[in-house]
Amino acid sequence: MTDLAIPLFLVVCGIAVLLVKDLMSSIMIFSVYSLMMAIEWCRLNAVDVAITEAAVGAGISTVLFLVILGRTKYVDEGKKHVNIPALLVAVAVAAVLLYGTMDLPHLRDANIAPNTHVVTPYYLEHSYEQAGQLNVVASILAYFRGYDTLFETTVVATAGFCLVLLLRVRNKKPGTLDSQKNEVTARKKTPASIGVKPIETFPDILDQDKDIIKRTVTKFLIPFIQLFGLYVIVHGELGPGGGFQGGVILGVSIIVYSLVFGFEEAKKRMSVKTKDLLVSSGVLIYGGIGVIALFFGGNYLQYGVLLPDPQFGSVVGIMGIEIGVGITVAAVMITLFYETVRIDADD
Amino acid sequence: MIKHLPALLIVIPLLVAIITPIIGRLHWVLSWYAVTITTFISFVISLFLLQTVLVQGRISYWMSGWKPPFGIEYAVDYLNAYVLIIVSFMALAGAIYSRKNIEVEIEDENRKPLFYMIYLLFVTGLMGMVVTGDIFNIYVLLEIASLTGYALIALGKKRRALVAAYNYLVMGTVGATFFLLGIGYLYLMTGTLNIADLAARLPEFYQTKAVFTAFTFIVVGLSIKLAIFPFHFWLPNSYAHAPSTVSAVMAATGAKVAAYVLIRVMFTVFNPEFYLHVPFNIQYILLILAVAAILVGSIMALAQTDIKKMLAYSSVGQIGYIVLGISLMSVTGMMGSLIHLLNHALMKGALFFAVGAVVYRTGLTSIENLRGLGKKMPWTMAAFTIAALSMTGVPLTVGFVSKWYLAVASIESGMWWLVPIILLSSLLTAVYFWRILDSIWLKPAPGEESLEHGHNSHQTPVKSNDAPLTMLIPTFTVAMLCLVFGVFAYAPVSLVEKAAMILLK
Amino acid sequence: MIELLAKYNYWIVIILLTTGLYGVMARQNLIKKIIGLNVFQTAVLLFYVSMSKIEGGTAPILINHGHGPQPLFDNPLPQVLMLTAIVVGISTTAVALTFVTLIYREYGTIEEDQILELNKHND
Repeated sequence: MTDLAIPLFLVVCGIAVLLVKDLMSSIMIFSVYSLMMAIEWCRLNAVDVAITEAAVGAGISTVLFLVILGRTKYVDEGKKHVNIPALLVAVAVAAVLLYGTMDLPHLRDANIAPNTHVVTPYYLEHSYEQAGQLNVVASILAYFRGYDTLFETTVVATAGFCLVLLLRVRNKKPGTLDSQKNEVTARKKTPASIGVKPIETFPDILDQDKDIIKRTVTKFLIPFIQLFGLYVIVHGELGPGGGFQGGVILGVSIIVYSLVFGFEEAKKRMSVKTKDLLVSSGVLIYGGIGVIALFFGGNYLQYGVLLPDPQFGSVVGIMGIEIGVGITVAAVMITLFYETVRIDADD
Repeated sequence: MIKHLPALLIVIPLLVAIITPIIGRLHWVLSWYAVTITTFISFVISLFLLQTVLVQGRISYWMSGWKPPFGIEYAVDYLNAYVLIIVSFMALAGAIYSRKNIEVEIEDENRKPLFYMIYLLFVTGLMGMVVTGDIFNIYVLLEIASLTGYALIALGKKRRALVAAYNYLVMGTVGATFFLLGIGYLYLMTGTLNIADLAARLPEFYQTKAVFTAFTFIVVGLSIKLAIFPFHFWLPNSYAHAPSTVSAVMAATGAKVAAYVLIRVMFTVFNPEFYLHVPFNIQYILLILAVAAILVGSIMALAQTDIKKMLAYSSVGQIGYIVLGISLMSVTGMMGSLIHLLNHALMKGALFFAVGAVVYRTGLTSIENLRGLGKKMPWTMAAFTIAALSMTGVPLTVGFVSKWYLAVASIESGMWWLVPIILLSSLLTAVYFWRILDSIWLKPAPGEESLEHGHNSHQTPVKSNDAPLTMLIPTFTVAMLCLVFGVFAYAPVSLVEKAAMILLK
Repeated sequence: MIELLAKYNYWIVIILLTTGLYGVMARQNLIKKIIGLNVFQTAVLLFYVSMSKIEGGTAPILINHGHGPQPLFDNPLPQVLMLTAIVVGISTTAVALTFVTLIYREYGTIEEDQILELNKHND
């Protein structure tokens, strides 16, 4: 019955996340939840997804939540009461879902529609000869449904740019947000007047960490992290991995550097301007390769026409876009960290 | 290159958007040029696509060269082409309009190129949702359009814009995830994601509970995006506090695209036959919600003092009209809904543009402050008046055309009781617009009061201080189109008729 | 036996989905809402991934350079879709957290009831 152990643990974590009062604990439990989710997927043989969830869900998500928690100097949650209308809605949704599962096909059966309808068998059969990828997930992601992935990369880049747009406010004092001409007394009613007391708990993330153990270990590890990230990107065609996973790992290397050596140091290695350019370049590379395919007579993103040998053309095309994806994702992960961390700093 | 137009329609704006911040580093106006030229190109391409569809019929473009259902397909038919033209045109109008508008509403110079980038991505996401033939592709582009939408709303000047954006984000993500869940159920039953393929394979499963659940989740998810009552709560605050360009373009395009996807799912993915097999009467449920939306929207609009909020609630009512036509499930009803997509885009677009011009000159949006503007901003107010009359449903305007078809469809379906409701809401619309028109044209401006009480030689006559040209031209053009398509309704109506007949065969 | 084992995944998904949804609707703290949203989204991810598993199948990576007979593979397509969904999820979370930070700067609090209170008084 080990099959059941992890899913049950997931349920416990999921409920605990929302019942726990303290926000910090909530975030930590959520991190554990994401990691266990990734392990469950690994057990279900969805390896690419597992790596991505571990890197993104358990890794980056937690970092983001913690940074924002630090910035908002959290207030402990007030009274807790059960919200009846919300409960009714949630139960109604559950009821509809239960109703729907009554005649869903049995999972794990090899004869259900997704596994027998032409689409999947075609992918499995032609992944190597047409796309040159042994990892079928990579061939679908990058070639058969490559157009979706272009937009997925765009979503990531968009999130990065949204953060830049919203958080980079120059020469403005906090509390004025684009000069509220119309709200004469913008802070007429402050939280203090309605009885809220914020708690100051976190040290500033911008500073260096003076601990020598952390500094030495980090200095030693970062090249390996980056090498591993590059490996994951390039190796995606032969095994689990690919642009997203590798990109996240690369991004994390800079984030770790920043956490330990201070934000100023990190900015010297990966400057803000460079990072902004990199976010755009990845998507440009991806979209650009698609356009090049047009000039060679194929449809958009048809890598097969890039070289005389369609299989090798695919390999080259896919490698190109994976690198593009990796660059954008790495840059965006760094952006997510940089922008949220320096919100009150001058730059 | 011509055969690649469906792909270029989306790829060109995407790539331009990505380099817009870099271009904008030199001077932000360059990014305005980039966005305006790109939306213009998209508009021209969408016209080409319509022309091709009229001549050749349905266009099918295979992304990455893979035949569907193995690859992602772009499928353009009458319905798509029609919606694409609406979206790209309003995007173009919004782009031109934004040049002066964001000077007031987004003051930081460094933000402007980024604004344009996000704006262009928003439009690209919407167009991408319309032109694709793969249901998961719709989800991905929906998320692009949503994410950029949230960020655009958050740029509003007041801090309430942030809260509005946050609430919209939470509700919108729940909706999108429901949509994703529904897709999952559909995939589990059929094994495909391509819309045409789904349409072919679903009928044998119409009886199953799983497919009905899939339908429910997809429709609920889309209803949240479309702001159908009772999921409309995010809309009033979002439209009211966003920058004016954003309110205008969102009202004109966002809701239309959500309605398009709903129609696509309800009538292409699922055949009209599906509704006979279903345990609940979908028709009645949608009908009741539509009527509720119409009434609630109109009544709430009456109660507002801020004009943008009023227009937002009015939109909730207008979306009710669109859903009304869908729920009638007849060709005439669908024609009413589809023509209203165009008409509401024009009317609301013009109204929000006009209000934005007022904000530009006066900085205020309460109805009180519109007094006497008829003299100071005659052209803008003329555009506002035309659009307002059109909303009420005066004959020879587009508003009348939509209401006519909806009324005819109601009678045809035997639901004659809907006609008084349409009339009632038109009356309420007339009331809340009359208050404003009265204020604009018939009341003196605040500074003029003393002139009435005797000639005072120190007072100068009121100068006309109308909106700048780049704001005025889009406003007035869109308003004029309300008249043009009201009189020459034949062109859009015949197109819409062809689309409706295919959907409801 | 396969039936029972197979269906339990659905039930886990339903419980997680409902919990996440309740968290989004009922919790007042803005960050908690986002966490609830994430739980809600990961439940859907679990649904799709469970869909891809086949009894006796293995990870969909071809062996022997694609030549010769291949073992039974799990369905790769839902996995691909979920890669996209995870990435979309983190993007949405990032933007949501940005809003939370900005709201904190402007309002001084991230509890929804207090924000509504502050909004009322400023009207």
